[in-house]
Amino acid sequence: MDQKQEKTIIKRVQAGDRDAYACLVDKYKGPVFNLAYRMTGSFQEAEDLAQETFLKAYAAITRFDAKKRFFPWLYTISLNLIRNHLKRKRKVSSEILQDNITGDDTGNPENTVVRHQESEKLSRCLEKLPADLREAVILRYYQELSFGDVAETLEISLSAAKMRVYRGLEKLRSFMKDK
Amino acid sequence: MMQKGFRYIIRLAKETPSVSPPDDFTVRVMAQLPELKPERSIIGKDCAFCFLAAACFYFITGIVFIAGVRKISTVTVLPHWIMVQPQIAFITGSGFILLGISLLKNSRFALRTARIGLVIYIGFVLINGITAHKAFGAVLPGAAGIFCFTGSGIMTGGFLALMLRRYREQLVNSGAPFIKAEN
Repeated sequence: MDQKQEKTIIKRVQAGDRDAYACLVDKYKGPVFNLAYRMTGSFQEAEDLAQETFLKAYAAITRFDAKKRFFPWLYTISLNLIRNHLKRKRKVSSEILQDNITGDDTGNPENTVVRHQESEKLSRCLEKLPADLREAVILRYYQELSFGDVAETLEISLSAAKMRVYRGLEKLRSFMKDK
Repeated sequence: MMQKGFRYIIRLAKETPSVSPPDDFTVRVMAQLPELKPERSIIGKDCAFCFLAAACFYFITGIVFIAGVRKISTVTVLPHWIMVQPQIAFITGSGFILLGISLLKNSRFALRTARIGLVIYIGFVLINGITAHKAFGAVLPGAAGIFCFTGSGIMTGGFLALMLRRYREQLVNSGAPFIKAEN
């Protein structure tokens, strides 16, 4: 689905075509779910938060400016929900459900095991990061957004976004060394 | 440049396998949509109305104070801080009128100004209450009056802060690139 089709779908949803919203959910469920999963470390919480994100976005979609891009808006809603959830919860669950990992495991089995172990280690370190740095790192490197999109999603300046990512990486590196 | 020192972490992050939501995720989201009730949106006008109502409260209080101060000052000498309460009420009311009018514009600047104004207002209500209490002493009717006035001021401030918060949240949800996220 390209930008033009997406805008058409958004306009249809805004006009009352509820079923068209399924296309938007289908397109963004993966990124939104991953964002929630990386932020909480829990599959169940990620599922609840992702669902809540789409429900909240649907409730507010009539006020969405269709000239703007949809995904930074959706991510902002998602991050607000995640932040509130983390504030309520305080302690982040470290549950990792390997069953749901759907990455590309082809290649040398030994390398794959080492890579998984290192990825897990990184995930554990990520959970130790303060929420503002964690979300910046996740958006930039797990979600692979540009710095501009990270800034737009977090509603901060470009330089502040770069600084947050840099500080996050720096902390991650020191946590990785400590482990 | 920045990425050079962190190449390993970045590579690991990018190579981390993504997780997939359950297969029936979309179906479950769609099934919940009809249960949603349309949100009651708070717009600048609603906030402006509340600020103007608060201004009315202070103007009426100011008029009551003028009458009260005149009457009491014929019987006893009142502390200076108590004597200026009518003026303080009028100034506060005028401030609320300005903030209310600016909120009608639905702008980023107006919301920020209103938030700053509200913080100053709540701080001032507290300082005014403490100063008036010190000036008036622990005489029961006066102390009770100051307590009620300060309490109502704080409640007004709290209510307006709540309105501004909801207004801000709705602006964020509406996609307006509005205000820095609060972490």
